[in-house]
Amino acid sequence: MTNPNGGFIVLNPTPDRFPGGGDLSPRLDILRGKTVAFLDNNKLQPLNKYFQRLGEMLIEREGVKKVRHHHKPFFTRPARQDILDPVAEHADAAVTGLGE
Amino acid sequence: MTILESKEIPVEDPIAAIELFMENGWTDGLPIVPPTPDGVRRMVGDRDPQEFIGYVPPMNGGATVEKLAINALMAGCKPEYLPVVIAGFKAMLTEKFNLKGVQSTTHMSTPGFVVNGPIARKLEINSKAGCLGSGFRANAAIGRALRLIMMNLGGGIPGETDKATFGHPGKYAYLFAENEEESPWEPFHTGRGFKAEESTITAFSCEPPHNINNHAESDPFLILYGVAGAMKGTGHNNFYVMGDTMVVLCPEHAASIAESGWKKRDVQYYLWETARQPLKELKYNGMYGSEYKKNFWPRWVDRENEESLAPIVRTPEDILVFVAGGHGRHSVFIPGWGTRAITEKIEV
Repeated sequence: MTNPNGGFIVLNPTPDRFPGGGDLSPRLDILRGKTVAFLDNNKLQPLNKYFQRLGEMLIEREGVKKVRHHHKPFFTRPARQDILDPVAEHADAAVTGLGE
Repeated sequence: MTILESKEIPVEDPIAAIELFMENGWTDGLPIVPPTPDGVRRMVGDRDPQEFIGYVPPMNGGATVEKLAINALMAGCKPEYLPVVIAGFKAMLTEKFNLKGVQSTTHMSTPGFVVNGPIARKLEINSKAGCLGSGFRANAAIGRALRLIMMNLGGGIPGETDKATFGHPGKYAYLFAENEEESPWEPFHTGRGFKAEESTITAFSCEPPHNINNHAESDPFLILYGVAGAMKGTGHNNFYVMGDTMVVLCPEHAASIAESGWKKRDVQYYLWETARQPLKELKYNGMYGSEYKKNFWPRWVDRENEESLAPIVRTPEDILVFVAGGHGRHSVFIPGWGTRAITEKIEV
């Protein structure tokens, strides 16, 4: 399609809508005194100590009050709501990831 | 005139549009067909462009018919391809397909698609020589459309949310049709409860095809022994997380096997009985290393006995057998990621 100014019009291929309630929570200014949750995908547990060590470092270096560790039942599948609810309820911030 | 809601972007000319889409990361690395409003209207046809199909993980972008049509046009689709794109997309959205996992895994797997039924002939979706390669518009454009949808609506960006260590060439396009005309057996989709005159698309998260070259044998046991040998290779996911796995027999292998009276079910059973590995081999040759007991094997596999044989998947039916390809005696094994193949009816 030619536009009135002599140019060319194309349409944006990316989404205009997302699920309701998808707004991000306010970001924390500091970690000191907060509770941080890790949602581990459970791959290679109990061998994988990555989140455990990160939690220790957050307490030692950043003054984090408490670290909570949560686990998905199986690493490739999305976390069920009953896994996510306690994370949202008991933590000020949560760390998770994609892939590994 | 059909009202479209996507944001209009003014550009100088089609080349500028191609470059803009490159800069914004809205392509698979190749130039796209610029999605003009008129072109998208032709793609949408009589459908409601705002019909909502679903959210695409992991970004959870909303997919309407309009958004699917934009991406289909970008991929080079003709309007008559859109029903196949929509059905393939719906198949990926089912829970058992686990698109969120497929999109974000470090594994190389990507959705591959097989079309059955009359629409394959009508749209000239290649099922014969070179059907898994380049050179055929319907295969390339429909397959590419589904990839662009995964990227642009689902946020599957390689190296970012798509964490694949390697990826694989099928991430550009991975779609073929079953060669029903030259198959000695019933079409795949009729085994899943569809009528032969209906058309379907089967989505399956999988690795690239592995060639099995056997020009010498016509005995079913000897042909399929070689197929099972390829399936027994360790390192792929099936031995560890099961799910479905796929074998595509070429028409000449299939004909030789069928001439001995074998049905597709016999092929599945033989492969399931033969493509096995002892636990002592699996123990250090797969994703879990010494954690090999964490897996989905059937209960009858004795985990305390390293001589026990594990099957490649839980049941013979989990070996999906198709017939496709051209002349020559090459069949292929396509390992799965560990999830299920989903078959969706194509509504035309």
